Amino acid sequence: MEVLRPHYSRTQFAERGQSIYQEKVKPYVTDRDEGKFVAIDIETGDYEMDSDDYGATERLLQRQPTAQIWLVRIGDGTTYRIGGYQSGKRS
Amino acid sequence: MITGQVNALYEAVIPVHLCDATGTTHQFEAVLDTGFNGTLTLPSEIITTLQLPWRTRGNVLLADGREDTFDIYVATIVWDGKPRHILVEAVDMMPLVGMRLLADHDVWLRVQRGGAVQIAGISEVENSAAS
Repeated sequence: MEVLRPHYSRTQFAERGQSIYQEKVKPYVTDRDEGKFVAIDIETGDYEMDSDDYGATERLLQRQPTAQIWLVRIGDGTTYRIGGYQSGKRS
Repeated sequence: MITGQVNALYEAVIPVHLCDATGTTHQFEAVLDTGFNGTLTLPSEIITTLQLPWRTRGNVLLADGREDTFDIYVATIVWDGKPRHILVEAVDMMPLVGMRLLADHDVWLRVQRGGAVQIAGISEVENSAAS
């Protein structure tokens, strides 16, 4: 497998990734998807969804081996939380 | 079963075993953090030592309410005696074990200095209860 490196700034990853999520993924999300992870290639807009975070990225890389991946967790404003809690902020 | 200890700072510490690029296993200490809903964090120093491959980026909500974007790497952890691929967030503090790594396990803590920490797979516990 090709060695992956980030080709965009952190801000570009976040902005492009969230934009693709809102436009291409969120309209099709159901209640059953809450807690799943979405791996989004910010270059092609392709994405994969999986209950496992590693699994979502692995499946996307099988189709897009050079994917620049932004990872989203459905039902929360951020991919992960480290002791941080905010009510009412959902994606 | 994975065993550890509550230290003098009242942190529940366990050993984690991670593989480097050559497959050699390295042991590090990690703190259980039920407020972390990912799998594992590692400081960049350990990520460099293990030569973990970069995989993705994501945002993290921190305890002070700030959001930040983190690099996320792939690691192989020996967990329950078996190698398993996981995603690891690069965070420059002591390694944290999150709730996703503890999923499908029972966690038992004796919260006093030197107290025991025990983590066992749910099937492991149910099998031993049945026998």
